[in-house]
Parts: sequence; structure tokens; C-alpha cells
Amino acid sequence: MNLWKVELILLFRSWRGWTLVSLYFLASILSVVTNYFIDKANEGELVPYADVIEMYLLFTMPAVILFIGLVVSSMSFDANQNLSIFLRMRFSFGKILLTKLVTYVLLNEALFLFIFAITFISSMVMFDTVDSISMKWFLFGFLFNILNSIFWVCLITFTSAVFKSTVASLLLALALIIGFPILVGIATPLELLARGLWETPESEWDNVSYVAKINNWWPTTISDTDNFLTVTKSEIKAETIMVNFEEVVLDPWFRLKPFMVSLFLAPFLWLYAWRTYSRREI
Amino acid sequence: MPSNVLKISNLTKKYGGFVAVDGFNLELQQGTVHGLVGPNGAGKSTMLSIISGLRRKTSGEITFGLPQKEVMLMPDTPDFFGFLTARQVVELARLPFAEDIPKENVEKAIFDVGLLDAIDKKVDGFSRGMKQRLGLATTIIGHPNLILLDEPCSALDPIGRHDVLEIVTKLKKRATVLFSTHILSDVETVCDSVTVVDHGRTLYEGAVSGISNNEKSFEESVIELLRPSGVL
Repeated sequence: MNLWKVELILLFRSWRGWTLVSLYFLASILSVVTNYFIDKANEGELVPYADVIEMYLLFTMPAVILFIGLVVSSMSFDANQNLSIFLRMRFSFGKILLTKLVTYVLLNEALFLFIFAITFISSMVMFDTVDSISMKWFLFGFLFNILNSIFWVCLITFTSAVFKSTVASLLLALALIIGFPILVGIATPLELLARGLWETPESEWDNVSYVAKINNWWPTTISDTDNFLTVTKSEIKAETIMVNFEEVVLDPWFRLKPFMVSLFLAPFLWLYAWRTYSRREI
Repeated sequence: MPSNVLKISNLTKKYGGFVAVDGFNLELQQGTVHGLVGPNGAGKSTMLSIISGLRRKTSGEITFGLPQKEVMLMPDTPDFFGFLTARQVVELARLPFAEDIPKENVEKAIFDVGLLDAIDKKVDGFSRGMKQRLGLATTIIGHPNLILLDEPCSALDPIGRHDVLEIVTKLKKRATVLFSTHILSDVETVCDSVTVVDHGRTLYEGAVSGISNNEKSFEESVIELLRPSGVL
């Protein structure tokens, strides 16, 4: 018995781990089935397989939210004081935290990639593969996906360190990761409306709105680079891709600003968490 | 001459204006069992938490005569991952000492605390008393030299209490034990020395036999000490 086995047993002996696996599978099945019906409805026009994979990425959102919840719950081990004493008297903080982080990041990446592969293969069999996906961009996107996961875990460690309670930590994590971008989505048009700039074309909002400019630096927006996983040859030719239903220029560094912020922030978030965990009285 | 395992000088712990531990002093010698007696809120658990490093002291000195990794605390209501079996919990507790402690010792530790019948049962179904026994098994598995037991008999039936006290008596030969309790007869049974505390202050520190005299029993003497400020 060791700590990482405990984490895996904790996940897979209850609904937690299996729900995570089910949500990823559900995302895959739903994306294939939905596009199958779209394919049937559009007689003559075949659905490109890249669309199926893009839909898979969109449908994995519930799995991602659950993943955040699971990591927060695991990190909030101090909420159970006596269990925390058992762990803290025997293992260093470094060992406890690193075991949790490595287990969860690897598990999530493995699940994401495995079911991505299943979706990829089934969509290649069932849908139009004329406009193929670029392997170079896929690998680039996958690199960002891993970096993004590492940053998220640093962020979640930070939010778990701020509060002892699981619920409070989870709400803070969701607010930073998902809540802020939703707020920006609402606040940007309101700001433009208030400034009398409502007529600004949507593609220009990022350059005109102050709220949107702040969002361009918000570190969790590096998850937009997931769109690199499905860049097709025609998109390379046109030099544009769709990001959040918006056409943007195909630029490998279009999320450079949040990436830089995340690189800068991650060590500080980790250090804060480390300091808080190690100084927390039980 | 036995060496000092632990020396505490003028230990104080404050939570804002509330003084939980007020100038506590203690010296523990190798191989002794020391009782910490006092009513609820006297500061016993706080003292044990500070010694084990789970809480920070406000002031005072704590000097160990052994490496800190040889100090082990068992809380008053030990808790574990409920989905693990007793064997798996003790195996997990053995992990930091795996180089020195063979895996076979897991079963022995569980046998020692009287849980062999439940060795492969999930902890989820354990009573508080069983968890306390399991807590003791996880505490002794690493062969610590300073064992801090926070009310180890509080949830146990008479047989369980007897077994735990027997284990503590056996430990006396190879480790130093500091244990807090409400049960005064337990102190009389196993302790070499005792500290009576109330409101974070020491009311008596010395040999168990030194507190009582020919007229009064140990229990009566302790209650008399505590009576001005409260009752046990």
C-alpha cells in the first residue's frame, strides 16, 4: 500500500473515478452520435471528422469540472483533522501534495488522450477524412494541453490552501477557472454598450474592450489552445481557426500572454500553497 | 543514568487573548510512561499537538533527545481512509519506516491491539473503539521512541482498556510514552510520573506515588487539586 494507490482506490472504489471515466466516454459517444445525425440530415454534404473531435473537446467540459472538483476534494485533506494527522505524522507535505498532483494530472491526461484516440479513430471510420488534421499542430496543442493541466493543478493547490473547507476551495477554483471567463463574456458587451461602442465588429472586441483586454492576459484562457488539436489542412491554408465560435488567425502564439502569466504565476501559487499547508495548524 | 528524551521549558500557547498552555514544563526520561491529567479544555491535546509539531508554540523551548521522526502521535479519535482494510491502513503507516520494519510486523501490530479478527475488514465498519485500537497499531508499527497518546482509552470498553494499558506497559521497556487521560485509575496502573494540568497551568508534576498520602487515594488527591478551578 502506498499513497498513490490510496488515491486511485479512493477514486475507483466510489462513484468519483467511474463518473469521470463515464463523462469522458459520454463526451465521445455524444460527439459521434450528434454528428452522425447531422450527417444524416445534411444529405450530400459529409461532416468532416475534425468537427466530431472539436465537439468532443466541447463536450468534455463536464468531465473537466468534475476533475477540478476531485482534485480540490483530494487536496482538502485537512478538512478531516484526524485523517490529516494520520498523514502528516507519517509523510512530508511534499510527498502528500506531489503524489496527489502527479496521480491526478497523469490520470486526467491519460483518460483525455485515450478517449480522444477512440473518438479520433471512430470519426475517421464514420466521417469525411478528406480535410485531414495536422499532426504537427496536434502535437503542439497536446503540449499546451499538458502545460495547461499543470497550471490548473497549481491553481487548484492554491485555492485548496486558501480554505480548509472543500466547498469553499471548489467554489474559488471554479470562479477563477470558469467563472471569470463567463463574467468577461457578459461584461464585455455591457462595457461596449456603456461606452457607445456597440457597433464594433465582434472580431475587434479584444482590441477595443478593456474587459476583453484583461481577459487576454487571464492565465486559464490558455485552454483555448486545445483548438490546435484539430487544425485541418484547409485551416492551415486559410490561416484561420475557430475559437469559442469566433474566427481567429491561426497563430501558434495567440495565447502567448496568458501562457506567460501562467508561467510567472505557477511558482508563486505553488509557493503560497506550500507555505500555507506547512504552516497550517492541525 | 537515563537520558532525557524530551525537555519542555516554559511552553506557552495563546489563541488571541486565550491562554491554552501557560508556562508548561516537563522532562521525560527514556523508557518512562508519563500521564497528563486534567479536565476538558485543560490544554492536554494542545500540548501533545505542539510537541508533535502539528501546532506552533507561542513561546518556550522544546528540546528532543531523539530525531523528530521517532515521535508519533495518536489523536483521541483516530481516523483513516474508510475504504481501506485494517491491514492496508497499518501497511500505509509502515511505509515511512519500510526500510527498518518488515512487512510481517503489520500482522503482529494488529494482533497486539486485538484486531486480528478484523484485519481484512474495511475500516468504514469499525466502531470508535476499534478505530482507537487501529490507531494504536499504526502508532506502534514504526517503533517510535516517543509515543504521544491522546486519551487512548476514551472510547474503549473495559477489555479494550485493559488491552491498551497492557500494550502501554509493554512499550515502557523500549519507548517513552506521554499519554493524556481522564481516567485516573489508568494513570495509577501504568504511569511512572504524572502532570496534573488545568487551564493550561501545571498543578502538580512528579511521581504518581508523590501526589497521594496515607489518608487520601491518588484519585481523591487529584480531584482535590482540581477542585478550586473545576472538576474532572
